[in-house]
Parts: sequence; C-alpha cells; structure tokens
Amino acid sequence: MSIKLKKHIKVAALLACTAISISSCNKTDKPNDPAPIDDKDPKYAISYSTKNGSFMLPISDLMKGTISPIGTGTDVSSIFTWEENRIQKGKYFYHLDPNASKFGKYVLENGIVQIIKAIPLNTLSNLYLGWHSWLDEETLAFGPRSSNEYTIVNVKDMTIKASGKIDTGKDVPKDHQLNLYTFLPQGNKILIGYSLYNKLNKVTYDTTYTATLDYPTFNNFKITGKDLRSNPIGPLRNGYFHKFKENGYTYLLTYPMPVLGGNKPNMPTGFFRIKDGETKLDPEYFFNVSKLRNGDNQLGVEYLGNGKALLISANDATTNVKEFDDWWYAVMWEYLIVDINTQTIVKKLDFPLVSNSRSAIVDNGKVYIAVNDPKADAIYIWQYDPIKDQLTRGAKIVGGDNDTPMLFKLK
Amino acid sequence: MLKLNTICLTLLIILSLPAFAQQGTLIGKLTNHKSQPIDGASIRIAATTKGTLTDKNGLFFFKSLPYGRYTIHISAVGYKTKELQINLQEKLENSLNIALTENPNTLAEVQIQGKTVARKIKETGFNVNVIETKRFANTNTDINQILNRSTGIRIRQQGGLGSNYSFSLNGLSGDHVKFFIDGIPIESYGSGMSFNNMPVNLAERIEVYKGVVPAHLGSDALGGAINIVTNRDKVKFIDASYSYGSFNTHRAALSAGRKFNKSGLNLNVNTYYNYSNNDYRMRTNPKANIYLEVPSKTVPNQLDTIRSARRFHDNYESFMTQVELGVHNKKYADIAVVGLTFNQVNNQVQTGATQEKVIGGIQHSSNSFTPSIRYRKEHFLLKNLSASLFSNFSTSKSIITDTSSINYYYWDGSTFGLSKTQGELNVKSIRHQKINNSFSQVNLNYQLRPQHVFALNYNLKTNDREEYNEIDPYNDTFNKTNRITQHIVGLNYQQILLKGRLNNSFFLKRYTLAGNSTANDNNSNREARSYTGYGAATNYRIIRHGGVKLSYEHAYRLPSFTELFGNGIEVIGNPNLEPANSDNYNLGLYYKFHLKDHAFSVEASTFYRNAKNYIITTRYSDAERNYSYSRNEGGIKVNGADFEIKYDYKGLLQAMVNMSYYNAVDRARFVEGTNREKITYNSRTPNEPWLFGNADISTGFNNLFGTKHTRLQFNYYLQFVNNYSLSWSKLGDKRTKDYIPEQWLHNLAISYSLKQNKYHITVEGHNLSNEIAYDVFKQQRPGRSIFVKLRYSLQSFK
Repeated sequence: MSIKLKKHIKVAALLACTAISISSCNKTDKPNDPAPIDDKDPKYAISYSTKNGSFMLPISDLMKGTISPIGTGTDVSSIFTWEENRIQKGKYFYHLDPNASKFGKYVLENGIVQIIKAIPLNTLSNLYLGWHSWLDEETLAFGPRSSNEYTIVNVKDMTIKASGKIDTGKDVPKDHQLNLYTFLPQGNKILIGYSLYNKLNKVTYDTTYTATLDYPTFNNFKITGKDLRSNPIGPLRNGYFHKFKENGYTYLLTYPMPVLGGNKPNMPTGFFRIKDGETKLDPEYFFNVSKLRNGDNQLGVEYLGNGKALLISANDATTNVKEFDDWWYAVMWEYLIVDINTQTIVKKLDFPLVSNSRSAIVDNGKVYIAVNDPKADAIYIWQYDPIKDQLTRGAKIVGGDNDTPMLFKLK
Repeated sequence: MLKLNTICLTLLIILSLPAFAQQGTLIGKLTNHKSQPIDGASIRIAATTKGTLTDKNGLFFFKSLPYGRYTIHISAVGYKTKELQINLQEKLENSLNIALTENPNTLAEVQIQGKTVARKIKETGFNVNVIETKRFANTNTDINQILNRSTGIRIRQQGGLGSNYSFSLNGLSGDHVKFFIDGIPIESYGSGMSFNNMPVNLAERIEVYKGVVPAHLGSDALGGAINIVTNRDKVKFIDASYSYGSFNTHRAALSAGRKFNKSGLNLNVNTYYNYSNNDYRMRTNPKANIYLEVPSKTVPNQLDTIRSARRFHDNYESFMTQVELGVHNKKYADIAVVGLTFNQVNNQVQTGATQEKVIGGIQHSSNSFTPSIRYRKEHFLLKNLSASLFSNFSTSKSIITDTSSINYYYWDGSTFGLSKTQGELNVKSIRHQKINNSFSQVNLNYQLRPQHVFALNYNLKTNDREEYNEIDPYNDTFNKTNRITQHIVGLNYQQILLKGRLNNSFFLKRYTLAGNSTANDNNSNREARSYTGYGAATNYRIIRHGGVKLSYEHAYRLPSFTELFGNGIEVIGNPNLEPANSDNYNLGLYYKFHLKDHAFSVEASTFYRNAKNYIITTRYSDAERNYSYSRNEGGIKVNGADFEIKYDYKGLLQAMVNMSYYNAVDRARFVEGTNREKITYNSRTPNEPWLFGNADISTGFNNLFGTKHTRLQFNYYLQFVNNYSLSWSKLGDKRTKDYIPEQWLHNLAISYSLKQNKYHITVEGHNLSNEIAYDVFKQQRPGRSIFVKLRYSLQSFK
C-alpha cells in the first residue's frame, strides 16, 4: 500500500472518528508557556525529577523566566538511570548504568543530551559509585560505595586504562577491608583516605586512615596516618561535594550521618585538611561544624571561594527523621555558609526549612541554588550575592518533585 | 457532563421522529412444528431490498409496503427454507402465520441458540461487542488475537506465544479491565489461565463489555470486562485441532461434549497444549532507534552493533485440561456437574520490561488444580425463578528461578560478568509462591412478567498467598502471608417496553473487602471496607434495523489488600487508600440495511470516561532496600469513538473494516498534596496506541473442481496501529522523543474444508511483509511466520 494512500486512510478514519466523538470536558488553561531558551549555546543546565521522569534542561538565564520540560530538554530517565553515578566535566557527562553495566559519555549540546559512546564495564563488582576523581583533563578514576575497587578510564577515547583492588600488602589484615572515601592525585602518588571494615564481625572502625600509593602502578601501599576526630573522610555516595583546594591546602568534608553517609551517628561533620605535598591530615586542624549546630549533620553543596563553603544542614534530625526515607524527603534542611579559616558559620540563608539539596553553582562570585521548598508552587533558583549579602529569587522550574534538583555550569 | 447528556438527549429525540407510513403493513409470526416461536429467522421480500429478522416471539413486520403481490423467502438455520406468495391488499388483514419444519441435516439447535444469546446481549443497552468465534475456528489464533480485531481493544504483547501482555479497552488498561470465563473471574482458575495461550477452538463466543459491565459479572471492573463463553452442554460435539509453524510452534486443542439422554449423564472436555521456541529474529532498526549492541569480538571493552540475532531463551509450554461430568434434565437440576481443571505453564524469560535488558537464565513455572461444581435449575422454588450456582477452589504453585551467576546477557547470547550472590534481576533466589483462591457465585433470575426481569448475583472470593525463597528460607524478604475476602452483590432489573423496541437495564453493585495480613513478626492486620457502584443501560430501536444505545456506570476498582495494609515486608500499606472510580458513558448507534444483494451493518459508538483516584504504585529502590507504596493520584479523562462496518454479498464475500480512536489525558491539574501544577495536565497518556484499525476480507467457494461437500476459503486480514510516543509526548525536545513507528501488518489464511465441514486444513501467514513491529515499551514482535492447521469438527443434536 502506498504511503500516500495510507495517509488518506488514516486521515479519513481520524476524521470519521472525530466527527462522532463528543468532547465533553471543558478546555482548561494550558500551563504557562516556557520562556524561550537559547538552546544553541546554553551556559547552564538543570537536571531534576518529576512525576513523569527526570529531565535535563538547558538554561540560558538563571534569573528570569520559567523553565519547563514541555517541549524542551531531554528525558534522561533511561539515560542517567542512577543519578549518583553521573559525573560532569563542562558540557560532557559520564554515567555508569548499573542496569546495563555500561559506561557512557554524553554531551549536552544544542539543548539536548546526546550519546557520544558507551563501553561495557566489567571491572567493578558493585556498580553503585561511591566516589570519583579526575587525575587529569581526560583521565577519570572511580569506584563503588564502601569498597577497595577502582577503575580508571581515558574519557577521550573511552578506554579502560586500569582497574583492580587496592593492594594493601601486609598492612591490612586479610579479614579486614579498606573502604575508600578520598582519592587525591599528588604528583606521582595517590593519597587515599579510607576506613577499615572488619569482615568477621561486620564492623567499620571509627578511625580515619590515610595512605599513599604509586601512580600509575598502584603499588607501594603505605599507611601515613590515623585520625579519630571524624569518619568517614568523604561521602558514601558519589556526587556529593566534599573537597576543595585553597591556599595550599585540600579541605575534606566528613560524612558521618546515617543513610547519606558512613553511619557514625556519634561523630561530628567537619572539615579535615591536608597541606600540598603532605601525606597525612593536619593534626592541628579540624573544623567541627556539627558542634556549632547542636550536633546535627551537614552535607556539602559548593565551594564559594575565599574560604567560604555552602553546606546544607539537617535541623533537629533526631525529631525529624522517623524512618529511613526521611533522610531524603523530610523537610528539615537549611543552607549555611561556613568559613573554613575562622571556623564559624557566616550566614544561615533566609529560607524556610526545605527538602534535601546538594547542588549549587558559582558564577562571577555569586552563588545560584535550586531551592526546593515543598510548599512553593515550583522549584526556584535563588541567587546569593555574598558581597551585598543579598538573596534574590530567579527562574521558576516547573514540575519538580521532592527529589534534589542538580544545577550544572557547562562552561 | 451536562453537555454530554444534552447531546445524547437531542440525538434520541431526533432519531425517534416517527417515519411516515403511507402504505400497507405486513405482520407475521413464525413458529416450528411445536408452535414455538422461531427467533432470528431471515424474512426477505424477493425483488425488493427489504428484509428483516424475527424477534424472540417469532414476530416480524414490514411497514410502508405498496399493495401488490410479493414472494417472501423465509430461512432459519436448522429449518427448511420456505417461499410464500402473498397479496397485500387494502382492508385485508395482512397478517401471516407461518410454520417451518426442521431440517435434521443441519446444526440447528446450537446455531439458533448461539445466535439468540448473542442477539439478546446485543439487544441490551450495554456497549458490547459479541464475537462469534466460529469463523476463526480454522485459524491459528488465540483469544487475544481475535480480541485485537475488535473495536476499542488494543492488546500489546511483549513477544511471541505466551508472552506477557497488556490489555487496553477504550483507553483504560491493566487492572482496570477484568476477564471472565463463562462468567467466572479468570483469576479464580489459578495462575497460568490466560487469554494469550487459549486457542480459539475452546470458545463459542466472546463478549466485550466496554466501560459499563452488567451486574452478573461480579467483579470490580473500572474500564470494562471480557467474558469468554466456552463450548459445553451440547448433545454431541467434538472439535480437535493441531497446528505447527514458525519458531517450532505446536498447538493442539480438543473440545468435546456429549449428553447421554437415556441416562441423563453429560460430559464436557476442554484441553489444549502449546509449545514454542519463540526464537524469532530481533533486529537493529535505526528508524525506531533500536541498536543491538554486543561486546566486540575484535576490540576488548568495546561494543559492536549487529544487524540481527535470534531470541535464545524464550521457550514456552502450556497445558490445560478441564473435565466436567454430571447430569442433566433431572427433576432437581437442569444441569449439575462437577469439574476439574488442571493447568501447567513453563516458560523461559528472555527480556526485562524493555528489550534492552536481555535475560538468559530466568525460568518460570506454575501449575494449578481447580475442582469445581456447577448447578442450574429453571423454575427453582417458584415458577418464574431460575437459579445457577458455581463454586471452585484453586491451588496454584509457582516457582521463579533466578540463579544464573552471569550478570549480563547480550542478544548474540554472549555474556559478561560473574557474581556469586547476584542473579539476573535480584539476589539469587528460587522463589516459591503458593496461592489459594476460592470463588462462589449464585445467580437468581426472576421473571415477573416477560417484560420485567430481576437478577440477583452474589460472589464470594477468597485469596491467600504465601511466599518464600528456597535458597535462603530464613530471609524474611520473601516470606509473607496474607488473605483477602471479597463479597460482591449485584442487582439488575431489565425491562423490555414498547413491544421490544425499548430495552432498559438498571443495576446496583455492592463491594465489600475484608483482609488479614500476617508478617514475619506475627503482627496481624484485619480490616473491612464497602463501596457501592451503580449504572443503567438502554437500547431504543428507532427504526426496524437501527437504533441508539446509551449506558452509564459509576464503576470501581478496589484497592487490593496488600495495597491497603502492606505485607509487612517490602510493601508499605496505605490504609487511607480509596478505590479508583470512574464515571463511564457510552453512546452507540447501529443500523443494518440491504441494497439488493449487498447487506451492510454499521455500528458506531462514542464514549467518555472520567477515572479518578487512580491507584499508583511507586517503587523505591536502593542498593540497601527495595519497597513499594501505593497512593491515589489524579487519574485520566478519556473520550473517543469507534466504528465498524460489515458487508456481505450473497454470503459469498464478507468484508469488515473498523477503526478506534481515543484521547486519554491526565485529568489532575496539581500534583497530589501540593500546589505544584502538573506538567502533564491535559496531555495524552504515553505508551498506548490511540488510533488503530482492522480490515478483514473473506471469500469462499463451494465444491470446486467438481468435488462434493468441500469449501475453499480465503481470508485476508490487515492490522493497523498508528505511531505513538513511548513517553509523554509533550515533554522534552522533539528531537529526543522516541516513537513506536506505525504498523501495517498483513495476514492471510487459506482453508480447505472437506466432508461437509468435518475436516479442515489451513495455511496461514502472519506479518507477510516481515515488518519490524513493536509493542509495549518497544519490545519487538515476531516477524513473518507461517502455520499449518488441521482440524476435525463434528456437531450433532440427535
């Protein structure tokens, strides 16, 4: 049957059906038309979930208009199947799909997410990532949650460069396992921060360890330090902000909280630091943030420059967390700006208690946060100007649910 | 809804304007030799286009007939044809009493009975398709494939024989449509009983109730119901068939019945066996954005795209047998039988929800035993009271084995990754499930007068379930026990007024749900809930062969016990869950006419559904835990229409064309519990075909090349499905959207019948153009396939 004829039949049938169809419901207003997006060359992007899938949308102006997945962006529900496994570098996104065991490279260009290449990945026994670290512009290391495994991929040609388990020699007993939380390249060495897990009694010790390894051989494991002030030295789940460099030091945020972190409820959230060239934690420095917030825990959001970092802090988790899920969905979080030099809370941003968030971007000295207040009619981007100490409400993002929206700066 | 009601009323008024009658009227009554009226007989006036059928009182009449001489042809299946000369004159009483004599060589009784029941159903106001399966008896089809040809129905099947399917009826799908066999809910026969493997030869007819379901089908059907009526209680009847074809597919079916009039005993047997490798080719198809990627054989850690690969882990086998033995025509019972049904299904699993997830090791097997009793008596206690009773108890066991250590399979059968503890879908498990169902049904029919019939229907269902993991029996994750009891009472009043021109039904349904769940910590939950549904249906015959039908129901889909109270493990209960409910409206028009030897029948209907409080199950998964929780959410509004035109030329050529369209949109403006506007508000629901149609042409030749009692029959069948979006079509940039391409599937069957329709051989080709067709979540369907079917059938009523 010719295509033309098929079309005629379809049109005729549709007309016939429509002719006798009764439209019995009143037409209601369409949702607001989204603001036009300069999708040729977007500078920012947002990824957030809705009741109808997760979307990644380009944003040209963070401060104006309405951003909506109606007619724009990409439904990434089947691309970035496990959001914590997504790693960004500029306009490129990498993702390990735990359902298909594939590691893919994607680009957000012309307003949409497109695949560049995917490779099968069979080097990790657990495909839920706990950490990643860029060794250089095109070399990416990553590993699973609570594990001693790693894989290194050249993301330019998407080839696997190295993989394995960290060989601890005789320094760690056989019935114990190193669980890696920090991976810092330092010249021809890798400095790692880890916890020790006893496989016999299934207990993770409170001690934070540091050690060094030769790169790229991963030989010559040497324990360089032990610390009992907080644990673990990094997030349990990949994608949570936890390290930045300033004035010759690398600052590392600990994640002791249950569910989102290493489950050490009696330990504080705080910053350790390591001086460049050193191989162990600065014994004189620990910024105990929990102590300033009545013992509550914090999650990292973004480094703002000049010794400032944006954190999100649970407000009275003892009361607000009644079940497992509440760590994600309880409306109990507040935004704090902390100073790692003066070890003080500089500012609590003036929002009501909101849902969990771990994403912000910094541009021209201003910080942009996607704030998810469940009582608001949408997620809004808020700009905080630290110089003027001013909060301004920006673009409206429609359709978001109670999951964390993620903002990205593409260039 | 005011608008809809106004339109319906206006239509009714317009259509009921009286026709002008200026000439004479001929009235007649047709009876058999026992003076019983003959229903459904054809009366035609030679040399005119006029024809009619007798009603259930054997009456017929012709209006506006110019005075003069006529020859009348009278024919009824099972009776000798008769011709009469009449002279229609003024002032004469133009009424006839005609008696027909039976033709012992034909299959009169059953065909008249079948026709009568089908017609009686169609004469009610319900929006119902009644499919007589006789014409499909020689084809290699199952019930689902026949239903797929009917208006308003779309069955989306994941793969080959026996594969999972999703049923959509006028835009409502899944749990919202309920299935019955002889009025008994299909689930009460235990697991494995399904329309996707039931051969056509077991069914006598299929009734499809759209949106409004009569009270005697006692279940909570939000969007409609399908009832299969099987062959049974015949004097002597046998239908045996076997077919073999592509993908090593074997299908055998036997349906037989015998009544021994001397002893009063009767026996019914229904059985079938199906087997297929389902190893059809999967293809890379850039048009549909499908690429079969496999690990490269030359470069390590890279993927290559291959053109096609055969499915390799999709064997399917099913066996069912049902035997009923009992007595008939006794003082205490018209029919009283005991029966036993056994069902066994073994199948391999080839894919997950999408074909991107290839599975190579998961097996599923299940079986069920279902003893039953059935009793029917006219004049039960009272003269005008008839009673029927049915009761069964089924025990089903099912085992799902997921113990392969291989993490991933690819379409070329190659594998990737090994794990000691992980299966392909979850941690390694051999999951046993034991389900006990009992079902009891009582129907009482009371005929106050022939025009006023009351029916009371009571259904009692119980269901309990246990689960455990054989590999790790002490792991509570798979252990759960729960029990649910459902009472449904239905009351129906049918009235036939205006000499049969107006047929009204009014009904009320009361649902009660009670349950008890015991979790691993021995905590029990007990609760009970009740809901009331109601509706009405009317058929008004405006002209001899044309009329209008209207129906409405406030229908329910009850929350399941687990949805309400959880199972203590991974399903968290929601005791505040309300049943999903829907207001369903149908308006239908029908008209039959003759143009000389060309007979046409046209049916068209339009409908509206307003389904609220949908029960949505959200699954949370995490590396630590998997659990689900159900809640009420928004729902959908659906409006649509369908039509079907049938054509017959002297019984030599038959053609049918139908088309269905619907528009289902999200009806909730805000996300439940928030003031956030939904991005899908008023958008069409995704992943469901919304425009589809079928065309069917048959022709046959008797006694070709001088042979006796033979027939050669050709049937061509075209299936069309318009393209549709996999996800909400308005969301996301158009360039990123994934569509299921439109499909035109051509099928051809050639049958040769011998010895007066006793022996049949059929060659049948499906998807002749080998189109790459997809269904549910873009799962590829089988390509071109060929089957040969042999069938023996015999019916006798002596």
